[in-house]
Amino acid sequence: MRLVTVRRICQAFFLLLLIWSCLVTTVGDRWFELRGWPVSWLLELDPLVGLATVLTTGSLYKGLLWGTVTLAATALVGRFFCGWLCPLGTLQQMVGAWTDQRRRRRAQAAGRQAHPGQRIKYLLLIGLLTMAAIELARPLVGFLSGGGWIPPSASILAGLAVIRWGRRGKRAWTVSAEWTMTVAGGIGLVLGVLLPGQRLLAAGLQTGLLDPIPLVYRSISLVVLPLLAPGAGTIVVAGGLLTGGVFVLVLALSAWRPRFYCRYVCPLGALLGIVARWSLWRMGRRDTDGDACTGCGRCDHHCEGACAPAEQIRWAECVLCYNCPDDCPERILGYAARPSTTGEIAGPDLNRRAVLAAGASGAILLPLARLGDPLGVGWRPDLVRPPGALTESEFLNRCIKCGQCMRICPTHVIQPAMLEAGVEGLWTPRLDFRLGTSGCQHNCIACGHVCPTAAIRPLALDERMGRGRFTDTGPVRIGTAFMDRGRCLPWAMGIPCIVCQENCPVSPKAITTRTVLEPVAGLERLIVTRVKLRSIHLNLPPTRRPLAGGDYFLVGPAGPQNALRIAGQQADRVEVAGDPAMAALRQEASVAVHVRLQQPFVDPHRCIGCGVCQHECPVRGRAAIRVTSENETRSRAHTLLAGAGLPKTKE
Amino acid sequence: MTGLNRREFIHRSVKAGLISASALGAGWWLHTANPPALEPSTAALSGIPGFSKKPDGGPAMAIASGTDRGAMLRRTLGALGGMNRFVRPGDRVVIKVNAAFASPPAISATSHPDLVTAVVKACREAEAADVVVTDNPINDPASCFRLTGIGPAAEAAGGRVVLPTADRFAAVTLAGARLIRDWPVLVGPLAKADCLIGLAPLKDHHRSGASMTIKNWYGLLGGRRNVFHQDIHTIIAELAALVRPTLVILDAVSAMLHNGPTGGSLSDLAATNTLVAGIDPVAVDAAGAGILGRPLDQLPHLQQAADADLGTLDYRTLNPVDVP
Amino acid sequence: MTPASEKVTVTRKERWVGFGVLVVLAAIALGIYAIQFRFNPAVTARQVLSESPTATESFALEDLAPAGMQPFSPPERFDPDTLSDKINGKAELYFSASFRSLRTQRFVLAADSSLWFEMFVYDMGTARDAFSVFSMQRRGDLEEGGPTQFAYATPNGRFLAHGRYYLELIGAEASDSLMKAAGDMATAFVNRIGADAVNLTEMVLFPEDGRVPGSRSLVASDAFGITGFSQVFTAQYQQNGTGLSAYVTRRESAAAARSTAETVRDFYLEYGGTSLDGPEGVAVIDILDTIEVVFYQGRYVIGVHEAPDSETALALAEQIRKRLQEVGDDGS
Repeated sequence: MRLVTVRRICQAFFLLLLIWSCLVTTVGDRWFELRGWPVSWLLELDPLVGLATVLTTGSLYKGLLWGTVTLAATALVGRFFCGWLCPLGTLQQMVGAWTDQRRRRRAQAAGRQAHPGQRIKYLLLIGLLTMAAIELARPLVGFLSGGGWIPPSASILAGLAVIRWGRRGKRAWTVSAEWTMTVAGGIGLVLGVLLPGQRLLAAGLQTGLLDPIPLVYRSISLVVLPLLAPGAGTIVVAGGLLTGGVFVLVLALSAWRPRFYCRYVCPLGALLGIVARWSLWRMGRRDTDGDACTGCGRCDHHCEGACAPAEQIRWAECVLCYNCPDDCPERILGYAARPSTTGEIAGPDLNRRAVLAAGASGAILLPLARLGDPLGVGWRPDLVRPPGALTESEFLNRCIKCGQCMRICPTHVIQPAMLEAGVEGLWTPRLDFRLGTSGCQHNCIACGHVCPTAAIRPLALDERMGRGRFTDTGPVRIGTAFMDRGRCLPWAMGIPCIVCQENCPVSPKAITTRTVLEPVAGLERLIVTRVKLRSIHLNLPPTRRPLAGGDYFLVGPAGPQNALRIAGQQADRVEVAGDPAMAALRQEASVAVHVRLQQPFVDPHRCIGCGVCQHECPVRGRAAIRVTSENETRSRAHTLLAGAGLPKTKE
Repeated sequence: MTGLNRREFIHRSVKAGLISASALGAGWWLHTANPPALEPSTAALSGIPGFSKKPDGGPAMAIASGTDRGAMLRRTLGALGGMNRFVRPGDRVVIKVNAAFASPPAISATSHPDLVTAVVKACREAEAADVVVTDNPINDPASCFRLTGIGPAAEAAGGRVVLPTADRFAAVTLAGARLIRDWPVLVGPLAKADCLIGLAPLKDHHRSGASMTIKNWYGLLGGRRNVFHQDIHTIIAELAALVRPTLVILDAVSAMLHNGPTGGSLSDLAATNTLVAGIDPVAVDAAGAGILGRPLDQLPHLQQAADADLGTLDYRTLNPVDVP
Repeated sequence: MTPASEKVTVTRKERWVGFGVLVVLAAIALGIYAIQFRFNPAVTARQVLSESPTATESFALEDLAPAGMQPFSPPERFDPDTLSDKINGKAELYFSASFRSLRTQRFVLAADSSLWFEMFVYDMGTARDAFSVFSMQRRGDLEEGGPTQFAYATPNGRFLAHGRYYLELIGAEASDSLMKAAGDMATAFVNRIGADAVNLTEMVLFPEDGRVPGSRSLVASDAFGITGFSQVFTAQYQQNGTGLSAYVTRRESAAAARSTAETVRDFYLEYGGTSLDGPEGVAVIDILDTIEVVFYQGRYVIGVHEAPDSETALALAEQIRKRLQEVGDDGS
């Protein structure tokens, strides 16, 4: 069997695995539901997820260890992940091959030539990783500036001195070390001593924007499956145009230039390209003299990585598609331990200036995004995160925007944020109590258990519900419901309702009611014209209120405590349930129609912010009871109640 | 394979092997299977240092009357045995003033500069090595210290104003407390201090009944401390347990009778012409309640503090020295 | 494919590599297959919930014990398969009302170890069923009272229906202190469950005038000895010194209601009743000198049982009919 065939089988396997992973990400134990399927395994295999979270959190969570296997294997054999595994690469390759069928050979070859723009992806990678790592500079700045301006200045001077006078005959790494000293000293001096620079050192994880594995997961879970999966027709997902638009754009560009995304954009490909630099085996010319090539150019016709295999192969660009050995009529291309006979360009084509510019751009973006202090005083109360989401800064240090939590959510109340969580929070999960089929189910812990990075902590059910050994800490709160009395039917309009109270799933209920008897506007001053048995004739104006519905009472001279329930209603009279004499109803008596209302109250000590009340509120547009992230468990700074949300002291 | 190629291959193999192994090794080393906590836990201090001196048989409390705060302070301190009784030569003293609002001294919402001057000077005369004046005000700290006159007064008298910057707070958990748990407290200035003197004006306080020397410790709390207004008496009683001062001084020369704690008008004030100083904040506050005309049963926090053995509610049993 | 690829020869090395890759893929597939049996906690958590849908599972009964009362036996739990072990003989009654589970535990007064009671918490699934078993076992002539609308007390017991639960707290002795603790515990249970009292439509149809207090009940099956006459709400009335009862039951549809009304009518005619004249659509039957009235309205069958005369019977039946028109169907 030809290796190309094996490669196609392998690609198909992982593409199907991806689709299967997204498809079964739905709570249940049947074979086509979650069960124990390792639905996040492909995300865990992605070493960029692991590397970036290591930079932001200093630890490698659970299954992300798989990424090191990818990285270790890539260091030995090259970018097999891109050519053989990556489902986004496979999809692009399919689109590219399909469009190439209609192209002339010359046009095919033209689209597969190496291009200087391929370095862009390395710069994007550097920018994104700098963004993730910049906070690591804090201890350095603190250390350098701890002794005032002298240590950083000394560092700069020493570095400059060695650069200026010790240049001759030095190796690359010593030059880098000198520059590092100088730059570190400069940063320490500027940020630590001259300026209040700690604000400039804000880190965050944004690799998920461009990382191909989260991108393809999110595209399939949030766009493809809601559009195409059987029975998914009712799933409502926000932001389809942006999420799906990016996906369509990636595929469309690959129709123009095969594997456009892989070549020009993909930060994961860039990472693997850098790691593959000293790989043991590599593609290249195998003709011993280097003159067997006839220059027919056929090796370029199906080249996926645009790595110029017949010339000096750009090894960092090669995705091991293995098309060129088959295309070469002279059989001089192959995969072997020694480098290409005609030489190779092992690493990416980068210069120091571009790297510094990319790093600096990455470093400045988050400080700009955080100038409004969205993690501190500028927090967004309307941003309700899933239960178990870490405190916002920690959450943003981990979320890779893969959409797994949104896919698994049984009520689809978890939705991708567009700008609701700031630009930084694009595609991160937020709860939208209007779009979901209900609120957040308080006995469900699914989202945290599919999150590959623990941006949403995998809660135990007892922990979520605050029982068992978690009785002391209480249930996990994601926010608090607030009554909007100006929009609530019983509060503002004298109409009985309490749907929110009935639907509150917390036990005992977090919504209580107070019963009041209130005069109905327009019906407060009526005069009885005649009393006949239980029929009270009066000057009733036309009203659409269902007076006989059981909630309306006739209050006579004997006062509200002797009100009689209205049991029947006609144009000029009402029937009361009870003796009219009890309410002192007689001819000429002045009476009023009262309505019995149960007015809802939220008990913040019990409310967990699940939003079922908001979802069920009959005021559908902007509900009369709404959840904001006030009092959420994950942030002590958002505490609403004295003494709540704090760890218990051990007596 | 030529010799050169072989050497190159070995060279490359070593590098590839190193990268591969270090990826695996670093991954293994950094690997954790435990999910993170919802919020990073902070190591909380178990309280702040205690500053109360051992009983030495000297008078516990003195009450002076008059209008000149400097003179009154000298007289009360004299009656208590002089500042030397509390401040030893070389001691580092922290004076917790009330600089809560950026309002002028005349409306008596904050500690009076004259009294600050007198206390700082007394500490200096007792050969204190360092006199720090601090508070965590409600309004902008720098302008509070400036506009109240406290900052300039303290510095002119040889004190040092320490502003409540973020790095000066640390989380504190008071054993058995319900509210002061893992809560930021302004411990920075206190960490290396030898004496703590509380300096509070006597004020009406809508939520708690009265703001006196114990309520004054509220200004050591950081974070969103206003959630404690939901349970004001508990927090004041817990503050009485958290903060054990060397000396407290209650300025009742011009008491704010209503519209507290901000006041704003001279008509809110009454010339009560008294200054109380003592080593027992509960007793001093009980005396203050009398001056303010608040029955003690309207100030449950004082009762709670007394019940917790943090002081004496019936201050007369301490035989306060009356200084005319 | 390119022309070149047609003459490709696969080297031995390539064959081995290809074979190796396929083996790895197969291993991955096997691994994934093996791992999918280890259920994700998100799935197992849901199973835990669906296996015990009882809200009471979230707390232990002893959490409800008032001060001075302590557990006297370990908590026990019974399902439909094991219920007979606990209440042999009476189990059928619960099964006919779709019994779900029973939890029991004994509690003793700390002060006196001879004073204990046993708490029975029956989960009947629905409020209708809970009320049914409550009313069928109701002892006559007992004081009403308790934390819910449907509660009564005996000298050594407390009985109540609340939401989907039917509770019995049965004491070893008729002791006031013991019964007070039992009452407190019942109240604690009601507060913990927190659900609102349900107002079943049928219950509110019975007019208050002349109704014997606390007489409303639900007969789950074979009411008045009529086979198949199930889920019937009844109420006792006293009028002019003689007793009569009224009943209401709801059916799936108007057609089913009509068929039930006919079944009842035919039952009385079969046992020697004679049909009297009555309003359109209303069967009035004289049997053994008492009057039976039965008719249907919408999905409801309404009737009066053992009335002294047809005027009284028809008047009461008419009141129920009118009230049904007023309140409408609650749809539950």
